[in-house]
Amino acid sequence: RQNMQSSEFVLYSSFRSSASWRARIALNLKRLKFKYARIYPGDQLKEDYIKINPMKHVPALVVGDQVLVESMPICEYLNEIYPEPALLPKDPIRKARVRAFCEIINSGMQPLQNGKVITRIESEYQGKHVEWAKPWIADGLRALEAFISKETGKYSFGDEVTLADVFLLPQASAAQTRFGIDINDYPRIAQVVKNLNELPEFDAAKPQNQPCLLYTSPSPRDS
Amino acid sequence: RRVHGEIILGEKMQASELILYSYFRSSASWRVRIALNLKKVTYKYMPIHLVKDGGAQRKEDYIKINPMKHVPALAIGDQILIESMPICEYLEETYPEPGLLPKDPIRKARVRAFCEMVNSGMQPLQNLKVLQRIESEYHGKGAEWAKPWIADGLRALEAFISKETGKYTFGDQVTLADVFLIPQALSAQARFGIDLNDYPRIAEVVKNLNELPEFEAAKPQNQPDFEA
Repeated sequence: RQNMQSSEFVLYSSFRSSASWRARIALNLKRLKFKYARIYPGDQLKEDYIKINPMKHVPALVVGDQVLVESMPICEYLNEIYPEPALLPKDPIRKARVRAFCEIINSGMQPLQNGKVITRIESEYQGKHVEWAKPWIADGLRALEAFISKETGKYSFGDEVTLADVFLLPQASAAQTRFGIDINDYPRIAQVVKNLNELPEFDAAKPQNQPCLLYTSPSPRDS
Repeated sequence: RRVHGEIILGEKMQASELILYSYFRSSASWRVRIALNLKKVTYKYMPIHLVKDGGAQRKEDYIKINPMKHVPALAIGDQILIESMPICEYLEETYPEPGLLPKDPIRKARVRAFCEMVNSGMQPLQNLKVLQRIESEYHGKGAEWAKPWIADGLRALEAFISKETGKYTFGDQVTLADVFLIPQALSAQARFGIDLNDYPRIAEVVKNLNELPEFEAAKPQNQPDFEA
């Protein structure tokens, strides 16, 4: 890659985790090299990893001797330390709206589809993962579409990529591949996703381009 | 008891056009009430009843305000902000004193991570629409569903701040971590029968935060729409 900055970053990531995917996109957009620490499904439940992240989630970003967890603070940190290209607007209200779009995904949608929730719905409640998750995801996409309905430009909030796009792509992909949702039901979202898919930073971050690929088809355990 | 959402807490009052759409029991609304109090910002309280009549948040009027059909929403003049974390970040930037985030980027990221462990790791699994669906569609009991998630989250929070010292979550100054902790911890006790003393540092921090008037004034029982 051009203009890569070397860094002491180690990213604990699972290729199937959409939260890890967000961090990979952000690192790519900031042109930051990072070492990829593979977390295979189940590794996050082991003692060694719990010391790194007591929530037993991926991603975790090691910065020197410090560990950062949670995709949103990780992205905010990267945006502060490496200001270019900027991933948040400067205007405080607009910045709040971009962050809100991220949180609709981060707290409003993805937690209801993640592996541990699906596992419990299936084992304890005899549910089916698609039936459980699909309504939440569809309703979230409806809300995202409405939230950016007055926006124009190639991406979620105009012609520059923002954190909203970083969060959107993994979620939209999961909606399609795991939950059988037709993204074209959400026209602006679909157009933005199409545009984002043309960017090399987003392509390089995709699950199929990561070094710990085990399975080629989506699994209920994907987050 | 406060009426009309007017919180009179000291000399530095700032008049504003802020309207907070809130439900007394919603922990996300509760976070924003605490933050507004800490920043000494007045606001008008607009109650959104999440249960009565199918839930005011599901009606067209409110969907225009927040398409996610969640509370809180904060109206600032003709702009609407949603999602408690961005709302708190906005308040932090617009009203910098008292600062609720450390200046050091790594430490700031850790405070934000604590907030997100609550905001995305715990609360979404216990919120009303999820509990309603567990009960109606999966014939489960809301408390049985939610309690393990909450307990595991509290365990993680306790571990995350185990090396911290001071009165509050991250030292002797209140941060956004405390703003997010109190509604989660107190609802864990009140609604899910969790004993906070199983998490000693958390319990101590909660005890200290409960002494602060800004936190007291934000409690569900002190809101205009409180129902016993």
